[in-house]
Amino acid sequence: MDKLVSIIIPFASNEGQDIKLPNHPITTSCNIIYNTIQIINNINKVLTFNKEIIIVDNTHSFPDIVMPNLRIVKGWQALDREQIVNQPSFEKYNIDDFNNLSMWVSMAYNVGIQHAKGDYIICQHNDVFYHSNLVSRMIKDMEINKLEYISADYKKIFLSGYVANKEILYKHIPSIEFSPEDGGYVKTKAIGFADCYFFLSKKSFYDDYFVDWGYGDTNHGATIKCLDQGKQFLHLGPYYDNPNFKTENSDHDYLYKDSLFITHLKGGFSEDKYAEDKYNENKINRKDIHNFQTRLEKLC
Amino acid sequence: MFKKLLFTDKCILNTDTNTVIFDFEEDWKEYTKWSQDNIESEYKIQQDKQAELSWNQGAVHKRGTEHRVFHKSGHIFDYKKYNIGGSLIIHNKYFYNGNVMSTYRKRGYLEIKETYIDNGSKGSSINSKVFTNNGTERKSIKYYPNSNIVQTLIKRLSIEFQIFHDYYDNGVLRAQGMLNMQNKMTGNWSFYSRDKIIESTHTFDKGKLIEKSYLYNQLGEFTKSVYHG
Repeated sequence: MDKLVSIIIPFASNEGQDIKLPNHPITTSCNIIYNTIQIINNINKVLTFNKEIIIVDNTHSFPDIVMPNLRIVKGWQALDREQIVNQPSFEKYNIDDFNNLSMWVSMAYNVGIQHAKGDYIICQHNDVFYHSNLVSRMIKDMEINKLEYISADYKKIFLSGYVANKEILYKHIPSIEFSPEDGGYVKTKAIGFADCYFFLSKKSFYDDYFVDWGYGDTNHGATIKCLDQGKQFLHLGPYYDNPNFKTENSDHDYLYKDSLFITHLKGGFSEDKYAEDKYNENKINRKDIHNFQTRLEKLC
Repeated sequence: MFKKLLFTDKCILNTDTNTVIFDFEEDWKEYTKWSQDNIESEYKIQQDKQAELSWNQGAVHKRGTEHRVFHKSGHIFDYKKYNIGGSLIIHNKYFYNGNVMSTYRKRGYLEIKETYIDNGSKGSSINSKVFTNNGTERKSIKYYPNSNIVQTLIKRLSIEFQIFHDYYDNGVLRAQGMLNMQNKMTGNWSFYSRDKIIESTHTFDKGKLIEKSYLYNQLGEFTKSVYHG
């Protein structure tokens, strides 16, 4: 495949820049830089096609290192408000809440897309590990089947996500039934939302769309856009963390056409997970971090 | 190799020759030597004998008001206890490895049923707990796996309504509201973030959204309302 693919990975840490989290003291990061470098190594090793890797450094704390195919661009989160407002593309993104942490993750993708030179874009987390080089095949399949995007995580539709997009979703889920569990969600297997753990599309997908923080720190808007425009898309299974589907394990391995494609190691750029107070006090997060690091070491 | 016989220690079965050897026979010395040289194997055949005795072809072991049934493995798999009047007051079931699978007990007018998840050598962890009174469910609790942390709690308030609480795995309240007796969401519902910040509020009538929903940002500031009619 001679087409260039731009792989966009948001990054954030507290090492060089304070991030104010609601209800949290200023915290420090653990090994998030090291883990991100391991993920870059993994991309270079497994994805052998023509590519560029764009780290969008939201906290301006990623080391100035040289790695094959790597570009580091500055995200907007660490800028002061005046600098953000003066960005040429500021008006495009309808930013009206500078404290929304989810928004800065979404905005990191948008900043990365602005810098991307590729014909295709992969938006992904810095905790996604590639097992096989199936992207070229996916791109071919996207062209043959006229798919707008291929995304991991067939997310359940949360109650608030449904409410916020009610007018469009109602057309596609005619019979609505809600479950109060898991934060409230729509009980349906008929439809779900895309996510940015792994999200592959043409760059032109973003001609009339940007990763909209209004849908959360994910990429639900991509699904809404396709539904609205009557276009096709594909969500990769198995559909973990979705009570509408049963999964036999919680490994977060994703398949493409029955081949193991990626593992979402669930320990990425979320500062909340790396918050020191939680690390010390909350055994569950400590276990998550330990699992992530153990699995990453094992896979690398 | 040898096998102990069930109801006597004065003889042993040689499984290689399929012959029974009594303790007064010359071959008994061969067994005692084997036993001394193979302490673990001797322990194992003793365990196997005890398991088979306990299993008792699946028949119930009755002792007073207590009834026990054992797996072929020798582990208990069913335990019942009755009061003097003959009513069942405790009923526990067990996995094949002996870990507890479910419990039932009577406490006053309440009946309490618990289910467990088998964690192998780590024992069992609680999965759910249900309180009933005369066949009517009063309270039910679902737990996060392997944690003893409550995931959901449903408590009956009246003949029409029950209150529902959903929790994150760090113990923080995630959602609360009312359910009708068909488990449909009804009345006012509130959802919170992991950091205890309000995320959204809604009003339901028998599972359908009505009136207005209010959505909030990560700082708990109001962002949007949606009218449902």
